[in-house]
Amino acid sequence: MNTVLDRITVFIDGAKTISVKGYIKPIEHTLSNFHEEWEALANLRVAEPEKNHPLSVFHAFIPIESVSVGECWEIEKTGVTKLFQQLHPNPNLDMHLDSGDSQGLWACLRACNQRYVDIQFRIHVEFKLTDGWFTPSKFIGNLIIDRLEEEIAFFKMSVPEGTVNFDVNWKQDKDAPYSITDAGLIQRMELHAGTQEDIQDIEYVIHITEDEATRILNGQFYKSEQINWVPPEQSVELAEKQSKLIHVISVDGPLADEAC
Amino acid sequence: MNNNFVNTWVTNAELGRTQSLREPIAKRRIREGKTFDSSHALAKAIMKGWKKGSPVDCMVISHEFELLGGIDYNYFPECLGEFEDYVDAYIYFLKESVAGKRPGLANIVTPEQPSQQVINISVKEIE
Repeated sequence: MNTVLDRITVFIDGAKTISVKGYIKPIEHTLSNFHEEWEALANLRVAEPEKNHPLSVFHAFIPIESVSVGECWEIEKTGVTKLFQQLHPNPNLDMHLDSGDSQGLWACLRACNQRYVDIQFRIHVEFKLTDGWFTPSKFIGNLIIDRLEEEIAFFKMSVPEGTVNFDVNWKQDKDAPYSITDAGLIQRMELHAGTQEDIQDIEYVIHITEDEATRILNGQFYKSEQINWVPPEQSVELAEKQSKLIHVISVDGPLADEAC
Repeated sequence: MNNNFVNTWVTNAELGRTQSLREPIAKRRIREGKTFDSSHALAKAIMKGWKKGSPVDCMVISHEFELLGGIDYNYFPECLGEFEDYVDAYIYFLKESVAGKRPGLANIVTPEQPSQQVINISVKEIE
């Protein structure tokens, strides 16, 4: 192992700026049709399609101490909130409904070489709408930093596609002591800067795969991630081979994110 | 859990339980080459275990697709008896399933039974 890269310290020049593009594609699918019945959800659009941010905003993603590949640290809330406000004016990182392990902002050093570092992250956030809350399953992404220039080579933070990737709580009846819920699919909710072409030729000296980084990050959130979940199509063969029974959860939303 | 079971989860929508998501799921299945759908033998066993209106079903199934236990999590743990601790109750459910006592399998509905809209009575009211 390259000893120079054993522990990485990252800096970015907070005085520089970066143009970040934001997207929210209008919602077309919900389980119970809230996207047509609830005006605030029907009209959910990106607040600022393009915005110049000072790089100081991205200090939130930078580890305070030096880190190794595969190591995690918590992301600081203030800077991230400013980024989320480009999507919607009212982000809330303190999750009003928290089943105990809903909150979290975690980053992991996925890869590095002498010039670049790739920080992979996962963030849980919700947005306060008129009469309710919009809760994406999670935001995931990568921040690639040019260590020589102390600037950002690439940034993407998005809600991943899935069967169901958001949850909503709508206080339809203002006088009722409860809200009603729905879930659905948003096909694009994203912030990004730079392009894949900018980073596709980077060769990292030390790295873990994106899947490995994802597994490490997931473990920071839910206790249930200590269970070795396998895709259903693989479970039968494994159960037969290992002489085990299959434990199945059939659920309206994904098991390990906030869309459920 | 890891020592005694192969653990898996699936969204109800993937098995066609949610009408409104059938179109995007069909498109994604084609795009990603997904093979697990309602025709799979395990899927059929899961669908057999669905409870009426349940948003979350927990089941134990053999690799020969025999349903050994199944609960609607909205009625957990009281559907199994009186328990002070959720973990104890869930372990009881798993053990009873392994022992062939078929916990929770008295109220099974057809696969076409849609899941209900969940009313979430939140402690913290929306401001």
